Amino acid sequence: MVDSEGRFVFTIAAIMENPSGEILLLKRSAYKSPVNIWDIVGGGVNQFEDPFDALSREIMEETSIKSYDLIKAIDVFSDKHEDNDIPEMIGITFWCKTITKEIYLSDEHTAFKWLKPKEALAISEHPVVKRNIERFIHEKKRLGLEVE
Amino acid sequence: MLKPLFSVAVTAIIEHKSDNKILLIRRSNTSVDFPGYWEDVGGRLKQTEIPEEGLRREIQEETGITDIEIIKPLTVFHVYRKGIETAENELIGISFWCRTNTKKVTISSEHSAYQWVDPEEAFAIVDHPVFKKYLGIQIAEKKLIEKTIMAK
Repeated sequence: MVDSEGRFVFTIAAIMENPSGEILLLKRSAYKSPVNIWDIVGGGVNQFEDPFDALSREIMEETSIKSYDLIKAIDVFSDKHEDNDIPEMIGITFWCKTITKEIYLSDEHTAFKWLKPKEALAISEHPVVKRNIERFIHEKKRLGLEVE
Repeated sequence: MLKPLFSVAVTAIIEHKSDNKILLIRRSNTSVDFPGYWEDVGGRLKQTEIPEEGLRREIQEETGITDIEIIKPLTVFHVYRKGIETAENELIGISFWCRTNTKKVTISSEHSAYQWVDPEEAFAIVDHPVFKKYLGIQIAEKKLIEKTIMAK
């Protein structure tokens, strides 16, 4: 490489909202770091994959939701992996809406919850997840929408 | 398993706080990709750089502007540099909506000209397909927010 250009893992994630104004949290399983935390939907973009295709694929794999509307981008985040040999990660989170109620989890997660944003904020332990939810609340307020 | 890796670019639609005009800069005629095209400010992230840092660095390098308020990300885009579809040319870009109070612009050697224009006018001038797409998103999002403010 001719310059100091970085190479990164890229993550794409969604705050998935239902018609009741609740958002979807998924509990990560014990074998996928960071373990056992409440997370939002999302995952890594594959090589040669369009990021929006990656978002649909991750949503489908992790929740079985096939149909959703993409509202807008809400947050960008970055994270260093615990293992220094693994490259840094950059990610973006979108606000999405779905009318699908049925969730079928993959083996990456052990539980799910639909929660009001402020309840979701209260139980989220991971700084990136917390910030994503805060940005979501901020964007809703900017549009004059109520947030419980 | 080998992790997929990408170059990551950050770009900024810079809006002036007083007149809401946005900044367009023109790529030099010797650019490898899109020579002579009007575009927004931006570039690739360096290793260990976080997106907001890289964005501020690129804005300063390409325009001299240092007072920047980052409003929000707008979208992601996916391109292959030089149009060559290999992993090493694969790039994911994040476009941001930014605001400034600075009007004076000092362009670098990568660009040949600049102008401040109304967003709708910019949309008409720009023919870079990727930029046009997220400029459209910025215009639509701004309208929605303004509608909310007007309603209050």
